[in-house]
Amino acid sequence: MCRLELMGIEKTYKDKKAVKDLTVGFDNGVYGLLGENGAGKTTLMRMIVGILKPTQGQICCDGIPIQQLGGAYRSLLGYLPQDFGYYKDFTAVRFLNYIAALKAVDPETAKERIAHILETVGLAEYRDKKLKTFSGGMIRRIGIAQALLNEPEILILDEPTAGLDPKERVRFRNIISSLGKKRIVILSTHIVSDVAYIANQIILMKHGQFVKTGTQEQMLAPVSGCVWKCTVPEEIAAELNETYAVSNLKGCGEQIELRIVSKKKPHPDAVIVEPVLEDAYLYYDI
Amino acid sequence: MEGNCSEIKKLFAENDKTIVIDGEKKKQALEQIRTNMQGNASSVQKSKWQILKIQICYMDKAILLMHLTVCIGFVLLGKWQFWERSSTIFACVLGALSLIEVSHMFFSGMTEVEESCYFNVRQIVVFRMACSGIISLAALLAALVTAGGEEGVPVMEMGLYMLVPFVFTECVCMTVMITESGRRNKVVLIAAGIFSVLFWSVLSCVPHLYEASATAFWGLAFFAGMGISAIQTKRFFRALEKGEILCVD
Repeated sequence: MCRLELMGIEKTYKDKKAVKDLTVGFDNGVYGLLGENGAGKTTLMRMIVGILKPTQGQICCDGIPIQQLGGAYRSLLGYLPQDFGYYKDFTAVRFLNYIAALKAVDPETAKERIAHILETVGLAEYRDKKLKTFSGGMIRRIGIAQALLNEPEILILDEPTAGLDPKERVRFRNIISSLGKKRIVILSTHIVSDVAYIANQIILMKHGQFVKTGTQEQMLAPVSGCVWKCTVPEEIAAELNETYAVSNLKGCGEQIELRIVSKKKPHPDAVIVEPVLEDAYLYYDI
Repeated sequence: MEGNCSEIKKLFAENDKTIVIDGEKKKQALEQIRTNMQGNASSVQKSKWQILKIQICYMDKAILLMHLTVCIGFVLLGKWQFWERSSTIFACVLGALSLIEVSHMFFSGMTEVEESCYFNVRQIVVFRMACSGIISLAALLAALVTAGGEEGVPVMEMGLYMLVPFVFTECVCMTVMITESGRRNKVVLIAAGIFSVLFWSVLSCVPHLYEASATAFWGLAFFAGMGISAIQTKRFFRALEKGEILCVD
């Protein structure tokens, strides 16, 4: 088990600050980074992996800056980038063997692990097929397989469920949940329900800063009493949609059912409902 | 909050002034921590040679094979007519191939994953540069020996006629590889290689270029090329260290 600490890290690209003064500590568990596109999630993850150097601040593993640890730190890492590249003409097994070689896993152990991991991600029967024949979901699964090859203590997954169909997403969630028991798993997504299912701790990011961090319960507590539901005619629905943060909109015959996040009652017929994480996301975004 | 932090930092800095840090012991402690961490990481191989051997086994060898084929063709060049001009052009092709071989990993978009591995992108680049460089230089040397032995051509001159276009082509290709479009698009890099080959093909037609009186020009060009090559390599590795050229988007 190791502890990862981010101490006042910042990243500036020319004149744009992508990440601003972030301080946080990670112990074993699943951490969900939630934020819109451009919030700074990917930059933050790349800095944690060591691909990008922070403009300011330090990232420490067990109290030592990761730059000083070099290969020792990388041997603890598993990383799935958002745009996962691969050699198209490699078979699944050859690709994983190549990555195992880069991760310095000895060949005997690599052979056993590859067989086991391919089974886990449901690609055992495609082991000798070329990667260029794989679907987007299968490539994503190969991506997570390569990240797990060295049994990492720190697993960084950038948008792991992007482009997956519902069945694959459920499979992924289960894999990631089981992984979080023994290691630090940091995953980023803008699919709120993924985080709600998997993460023990949620970190909400906006404009390169942490807006709110905590468990799902801690995130939802302030939102309680601020989520409303009402069924109204189409014209009123359009008006409410303009004025308030609407987390859901559903047609019910002639009328529209709205789920609104607001501190004050948005409509005389509106009734308070229990908040979910998607409501909280909108609440902190207001 | 920010004020408090800077005050605390100041206090720490003040207190730390009185502590004498033994550099040697600090180094030893860091080494011990590194070893412990690698112990935590399951089944990590310590031997770099083993890692390289397995890499050679699984890496993409298509361009390497193409490179080898061109090298063999180049060695056979010793028996050709117009050896000066031909060797200049072939050396250009080898220079371009060496760089395309190294840049292959950027086109696949693999660099982000590779940088997160124990054996990271900088090490892979050094390894591939060494591999392709050794192959090219071995071919240049073999061609030199063949031509020198069979045709009786002056070895130093012929070495210059090969090394100058080789180094210049590498410089042109590396300049392109440092740019974003050159890294994203294989065609741009290949075009740069073709441009260099064409440029040297035209230059090789200049009268008196291969005469003994032009040796000083070739010598100067060689040293200039080596200098530019060193600067470009340094720039490339600095960019790798910064990390931005490793990111896919």
